[in-house]
Amino acid sequence: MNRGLGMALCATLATSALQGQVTDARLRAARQEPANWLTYSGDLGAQRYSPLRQITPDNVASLRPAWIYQATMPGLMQTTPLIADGILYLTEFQGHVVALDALSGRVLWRYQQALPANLLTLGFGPTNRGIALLDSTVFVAAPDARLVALDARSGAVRWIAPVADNALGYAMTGAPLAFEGMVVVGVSGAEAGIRGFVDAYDARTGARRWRFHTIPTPGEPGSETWGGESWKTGGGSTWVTGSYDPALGLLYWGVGNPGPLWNGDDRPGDNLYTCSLLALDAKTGTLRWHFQYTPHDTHDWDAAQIPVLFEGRVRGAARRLVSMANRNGFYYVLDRATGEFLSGTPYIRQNWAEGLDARGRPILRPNTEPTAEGTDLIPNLHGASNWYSPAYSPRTGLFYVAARQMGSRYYKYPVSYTPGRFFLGGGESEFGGDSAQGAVKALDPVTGRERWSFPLFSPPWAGLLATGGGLVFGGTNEGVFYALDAVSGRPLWHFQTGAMINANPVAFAVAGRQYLAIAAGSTLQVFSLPPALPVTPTR
Amino acid sequence: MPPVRVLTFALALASTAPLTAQEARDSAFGPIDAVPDDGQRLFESQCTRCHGVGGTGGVAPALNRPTLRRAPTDEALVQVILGGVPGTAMVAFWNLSADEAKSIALYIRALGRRPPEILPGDPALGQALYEGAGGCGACHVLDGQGAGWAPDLSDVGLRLSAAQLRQSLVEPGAAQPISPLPSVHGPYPAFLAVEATTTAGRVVRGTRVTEDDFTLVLRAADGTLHSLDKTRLRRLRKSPGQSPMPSYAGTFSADELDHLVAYLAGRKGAP
Repeated sequence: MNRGLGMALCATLATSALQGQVTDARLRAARQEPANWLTYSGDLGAQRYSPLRQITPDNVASLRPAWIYQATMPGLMQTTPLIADGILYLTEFQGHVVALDALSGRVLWRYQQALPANLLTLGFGPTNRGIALLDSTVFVAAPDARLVALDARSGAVRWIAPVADNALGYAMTGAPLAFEGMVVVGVSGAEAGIRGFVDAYDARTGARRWRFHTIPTPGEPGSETWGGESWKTGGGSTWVTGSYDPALGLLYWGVGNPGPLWNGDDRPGDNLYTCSLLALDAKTGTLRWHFQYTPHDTHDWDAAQIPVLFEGRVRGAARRLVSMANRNGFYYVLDRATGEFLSGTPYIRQNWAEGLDARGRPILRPNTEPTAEGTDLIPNLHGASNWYSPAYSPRTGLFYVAARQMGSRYYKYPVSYTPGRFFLGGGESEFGGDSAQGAVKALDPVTGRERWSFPLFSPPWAGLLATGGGLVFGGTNEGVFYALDAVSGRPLWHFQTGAMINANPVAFAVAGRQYLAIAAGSTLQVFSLPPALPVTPTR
Repeated sequence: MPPVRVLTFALALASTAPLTAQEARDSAFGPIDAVPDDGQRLFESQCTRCHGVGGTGGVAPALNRPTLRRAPTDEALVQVILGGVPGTAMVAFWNLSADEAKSIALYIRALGRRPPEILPGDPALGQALYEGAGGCGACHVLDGQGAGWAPDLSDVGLRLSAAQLRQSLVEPGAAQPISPLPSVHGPYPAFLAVEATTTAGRVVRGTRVTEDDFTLVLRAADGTLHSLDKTRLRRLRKSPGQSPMPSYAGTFSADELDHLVAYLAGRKGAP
């Protein structure tokens, strides 16, 4: 080899290796490099906001496909792709990982999960919602409750950590959250009567640093909210990625429904910490505060939505806030340092609560419990929102949520626990068809007051993205990827992708050009302005 | 059923003569490790909303018959339950375990061993009415003959019970078939009557073929398809419960309806 060329090659490799390092400092300052999308929600505060502003209300009508990736695994992709330094990482159904050249869509490497033939995913299927990046490692949850670390350059396995026993119904579908040398993950399985937890693993070795059980053992604070032995099968899944405030050192993570799902007779009490938001000390996993949205839930209203961190003025004073558009139909704002309840406002037409009291506890209407004969209630079990993401735009100062307006008939029947089987105690029959609808809602982030609403044909299963260009992007069950004016809600562009959209959009930039990406069916579709169209800088 | 957290368990409200565990085991389907009454309970919670209590049919085909069009074998039946039927409203029930699907299949097969419905009418007289005074072929295809505006009736005897056939004839608006309209929150009526007024003031009437947030495709009475941009509509009126099919309650006597029902109940597709 020519010596000079060799040295030049080494220098090039060194540069790209350095570029491939997604350091903790870069994650903290993700907003400063809008070309990349480095965490599941775009930044550790989970705002799902891209500062990119090349695509605007004035030119979005020219948006067209740049490339499409067709998954090798059939099955609806719920992935949020991450983009770092020109490489796009996505997960297919079952958690297989693919790295693509973000400019051309060509495959760079692929990691195939080895899954057991008797894989258990009771209630949700072996889906996967994305990866986490830290330094030069990709982290992905395997459906059978293992955490896998891959070399970001090749897809080679660095380590695999067993998280929980899949035979008991523990499974993993969410994107991990990586920061400060560790990887945080949650689990699914409340429908099988698991006892949920949030785990943190050492990013370098895969050793577990801490575990926080979402259901306390007898004698621990909160154990008084469970009757008898019910805590052992109390559920409390942690299946949606949380958010992190480096300044406070606090990790925010939502907790799902109690078990059994629809029959609460054997678990009298509030059933902490199900249907709650946890604020955990990220270093130790100890609980700093909690807020329970739906005490003693019997309608599957998990608090497994994205906790969004932002700053706002409450009664004239600047506050650090965390908000959640909860599955139960209310939008909640809390002080994220203390957990103090600040406001809670319905964002759909719900009929289970008269309202919230001064501490944010719901004031129940009579006869809302599931019964043998059936109880009609709004929202349905999938809630006013679900796992898919909302967006917050610091540019417009608005919180955007894809809201679901539908009801259901809730049933209750007797139930007993069998390890690794459904543990439900009831069911629901949803009121579908033309009566079920949705809307994209823009809310005042502090008061929850609605600013505008864009109606959707059916209750959505796709998240939203807000951009610095002044747009909100989202997707529909019927396969439409669309752009709305972030200020007015006016529809400005739409594209029929050909399959249901059940994922969150992201934005990124390569070589000075802004792209939008959304998973639709088993494809990832990437859009940009036509090359012939003169473009302004991305930022 | 979308690949999301979907569980539509429900208790049946009406009751039907329950099969004994022994009857269920009589099927030559092989051993299962689910509890014996799982099949009926699961069927009632997962299937009755579309297929009716006891599998007598509803918006989806009746299942209480010895042969099922899409499931000639027990294995095929399990596959239909777990994998769905692409292009139809029959979704994949991946939330069920293989054992649970097997126990539902056992229950469905037991339903199929019930005595057949008694049909008082004369099929030959029914055929004459279908081809003559009824004018049914103007809209329906049967064994390749007729016009394809309305559902194909070649195998309608496999899909609908006698009671449903009669209801379809006398009260078509209340017996609407469901649409494969691609959205996860169906079922949607297949022939929803709509009237759209464009911003230019043009009024288009017809039945909905498909719809999303931005598009409405409807078929006018003359068969023309109209693909409309919903953002350019001034008004969109939907009239559920109306069918383009006329009621035959006043056209045919009770005996004639019996004949027509007997004829249609015998339409079971290509052998």
